[in-house]
Amino acid sequence: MRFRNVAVIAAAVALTLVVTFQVFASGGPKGDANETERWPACVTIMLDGDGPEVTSEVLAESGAATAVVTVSEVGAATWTTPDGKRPTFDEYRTSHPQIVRPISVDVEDALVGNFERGRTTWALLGGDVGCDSMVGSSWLEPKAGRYVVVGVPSLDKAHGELLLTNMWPVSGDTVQAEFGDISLNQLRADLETANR
Amino acid sequence: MRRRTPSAVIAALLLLAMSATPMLAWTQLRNNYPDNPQSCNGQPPNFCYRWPKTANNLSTTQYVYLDDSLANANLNLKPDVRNAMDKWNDLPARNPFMIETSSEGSADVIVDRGSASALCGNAFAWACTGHVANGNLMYTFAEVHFSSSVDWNHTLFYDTDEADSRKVATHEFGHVEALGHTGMTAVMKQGDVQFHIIKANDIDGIQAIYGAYP
Repeated sequence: MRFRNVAVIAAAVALTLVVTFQVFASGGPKGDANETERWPACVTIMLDGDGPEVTSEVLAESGAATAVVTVSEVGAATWTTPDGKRPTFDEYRTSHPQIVRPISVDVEDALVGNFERGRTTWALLGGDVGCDSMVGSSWLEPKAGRYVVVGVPSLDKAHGELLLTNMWPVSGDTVQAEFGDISLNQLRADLETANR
Repeated sequence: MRRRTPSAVIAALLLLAMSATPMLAWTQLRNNYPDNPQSCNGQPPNFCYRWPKTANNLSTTQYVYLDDSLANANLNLKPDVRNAMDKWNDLPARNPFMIETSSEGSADVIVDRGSASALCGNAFAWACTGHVANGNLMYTFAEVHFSSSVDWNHTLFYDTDEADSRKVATHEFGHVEALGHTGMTAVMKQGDVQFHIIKANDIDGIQAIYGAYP
C-alpha cells in the first residue's frame, strides 16, 4: 500500500515536471497560443497608407519613379519570402514579406526616373496565395491597357526592381489621375517644370 | 387643431428628411469602400473587420507596444500616440481598450517609426497601418509605421515630407480600431485636413461597429 502511494506520487511529480518543461520550452504560458492567435492558418493582411493628395506637384516633389506603360499581363501571386513559402509570424513581423504579383509592362516613356523602353516585369502589391490574401486601400486592380504608373524601389528585388504603388488609366491622351483628369502632355510638362 | 397640424406636418417632414439622410457618414468598412455603413454585411466588398469582443459583448483589452524608434529623430512621437490611444479609449463605446505594454512579444499592436511607403504600397505615405485578420473577419494583430522620412510637427503644417503627428496618430488609431476612410468631417478624413480631434462621425462609426456604452 505504501509502495503504491509512493509510485502514484512519483508519477504525479514526473507528469508535473514534464508539463512544466513543455510549457516553458514553448516560450511561456502564452507563447504558442499567441503565435497561433495572431497568425492563424489563413490570414488577410489589410493595409491603409495615409499621405497627401497625390497631385502632379506632389508626384514631382517625391521623386517617385513614374512611367507611361502598357500592361500586358498580371501573373500569379506569391509571398516575397526568400523561399516563396508562407512566413511565420516572427518572419512576418521582422521582415514584412508581402504578397505580390508580377506585372508585365511595356515601357513607353519615362516621366520621372530612368527606365529602358521595352518589356519589363515589376511587382504589384496584393493578391491571394492559398487562403492568405493581402489587400490595401485605393489599390487598383489592373487590366491589360495603358497606364501611368508610379512606384517605389522594391524591397524584394527578386520580384522586380519597382513596386507599383499607383496606376492611373490612360484613355487617348487623358490620364485619369487620383487628383482628376489631366492630359499626358500636361502631366509631362508639370513634372518637368517641378523637377527643374 | 388647425394650429397643431402645421407643426405635426413639419415634424413629419423633418423626420422624413432625417431618415433620408445617411446617419453615419464614415466608412466602417475597410479599404476605400463607399461611405455606406449599413452595407457592412461581412461579405466582400462590404465586409466589416473588427477586433473581437468578450463573450458577454464587452470590450477586449489590446496591448500596444511603442517602439523606441518613435522617440528618435526630430520629434518624440510617443506622447502623441499615447494621447491618440486615450482619445479612442474614452469614447462611449465598447471598442477595444488600448493599454501600453513594455513587452513587444505579447503586444497586439506594435507602433514604430520606419518605412511606411513600401509596406502600404503608397509612395507618398506619412504613415501606414497594417492589420492581420483571421477567417472570421477578426483582427488578430496590428502595426502602425510612422514614416521615418517625414519631419513631424505640431503646427498643422502638411507637405509631402511634413505632417502633424497629432492628427496622423489619431487617424492611424482610428484605422487600428477598425475605421476606414471617409470624405466627411471626421478625423478619418484623408489628407491634410486639420482635424486631430475625434468627431461625431468617428464616434458614430465606432458605436456602430462595437456598440455604444453603457
